[in-house]
Amino acid sequence: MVWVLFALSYNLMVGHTGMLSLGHTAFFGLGAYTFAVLTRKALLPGTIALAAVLGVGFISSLLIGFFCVRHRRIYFAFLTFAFCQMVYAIVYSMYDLTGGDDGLISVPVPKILASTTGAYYFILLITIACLFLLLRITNSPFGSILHAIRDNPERAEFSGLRIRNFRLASFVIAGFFGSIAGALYTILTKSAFLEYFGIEFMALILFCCLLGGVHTFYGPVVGAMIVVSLDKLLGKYTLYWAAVTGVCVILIVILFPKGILGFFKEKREGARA
Amino acid sequence: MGIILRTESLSKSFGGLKAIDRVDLFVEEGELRSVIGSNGAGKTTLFNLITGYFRSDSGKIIWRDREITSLPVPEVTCLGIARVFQRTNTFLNLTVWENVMLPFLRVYKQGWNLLTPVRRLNQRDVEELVEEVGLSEQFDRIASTLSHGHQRRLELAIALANRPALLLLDEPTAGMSVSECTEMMSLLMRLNQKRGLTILLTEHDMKVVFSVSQKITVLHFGRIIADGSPDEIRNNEEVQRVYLGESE
Repeated sequence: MVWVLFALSYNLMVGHTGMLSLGHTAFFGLGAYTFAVLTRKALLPGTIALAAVLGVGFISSLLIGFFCVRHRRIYFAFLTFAFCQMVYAIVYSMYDLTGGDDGLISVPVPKILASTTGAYYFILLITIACLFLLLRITNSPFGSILHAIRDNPERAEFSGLRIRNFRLASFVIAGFFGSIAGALYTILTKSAFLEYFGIEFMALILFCCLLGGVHTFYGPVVGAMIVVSLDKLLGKYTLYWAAVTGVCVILIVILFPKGILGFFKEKREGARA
Repeated sequence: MGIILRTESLSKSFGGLKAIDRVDLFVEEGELRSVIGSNGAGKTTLFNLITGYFRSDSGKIIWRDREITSLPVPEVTCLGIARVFQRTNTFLNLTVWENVMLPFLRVYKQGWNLLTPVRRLNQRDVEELVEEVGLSEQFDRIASTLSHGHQRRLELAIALANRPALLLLDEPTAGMSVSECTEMMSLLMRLNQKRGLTILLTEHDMKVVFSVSQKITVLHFGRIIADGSPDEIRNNEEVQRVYLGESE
């Protein structure tokens, strides 16, 4: 569920706005660490920590996005990656607060979320609410403008749209929901680790979106479910599950360049035309 | 009718090449003016300067008594200057109605609406405009699947959805068949005469230019060498020598 939410938030940027970020995990990590530090170190209640996660997600994505959206394509991608590494370095260096390389474990959560079932239903509820909101955003006039910017930024500017503002808004919304996903993951695992900022995690989330189809809303949902299932299943049978995943990536790129849902969408549109 | 757009000593160079050289252009409200000239004369550069796509090296662009020389593209569009490109420039992966609806979102200040389903907005405006350019039957088709002629019409519809006072068309009939070309030009004349839309266009087809234009400006190596009615241009010796003589 957490992966579904995180992939959906990422796809708002990549799939709907055409902004390939390599640093979206910064917000996942910030959400996770904000919740963990506030509840474990500052001993604040979970509700206040969650509210703080929303604020941190919004402000951090606004700050980072302000600089990143001024650039496009590969420059944008590497700038987001650089910011993510900066956040990683800061979290790593603040050992007393974040546990540095060891991360934070035994993060306290509200009693109702302490059990796996309680946490599951809470995460399910939040994920569905976020999914609904993201769906509304995607189908709104704002969402249509994001699609236009992805498709032809030059024509969008000649339609009087100040595309930098819309790109920034897309970045902030994606970061905001990404930080929620991070906090939910901490609630589920009761821990926070530096790996959350890693490029490996970023690549997996990108793969989720590509697998399902970046130009569809539900593509990342399908992609995340398949990736998580593959991870669990393959892990039981082989130590080389990552290699099998790699083969899957190659096959998907060759057989379904627009992703699974993208493939069916194209078939449907082809039949209509 | 007053002057809606004027340029004062407008210049633009690329390296050592003077693409636009001290151009003083006057466009009256409601007129249909053509800018002609051979390849490399500076027609597209002039459009790029007016729309804010290029920054000029010197000179001014005045729109309704307001200087717009250094304004970026979206600001210029919002003031009422829309453009159709030489190469078709639409949102290829979006449907016809999405293409036309997008500028309306800006015009009606709905772009920051994050929650209302877009399907319910501006339907009537979009339908009217799509019908006006003759694309009603293509309403739900993806733009990339349209024929070249229909894509040119779609781009015109996008430009018109911006509710412009001045429409810049860079070779609107390029790549069209004779019948498509005739339909396009009669559509432009209708827009000019019925809506009072000011049109500034570049075109290589001299038959088209002389049949539809009220005024013609001739560019040669970035400089205006003649400006006047079609008859005045036709009888201008310098124009005959450097341009019409070649093309006829």
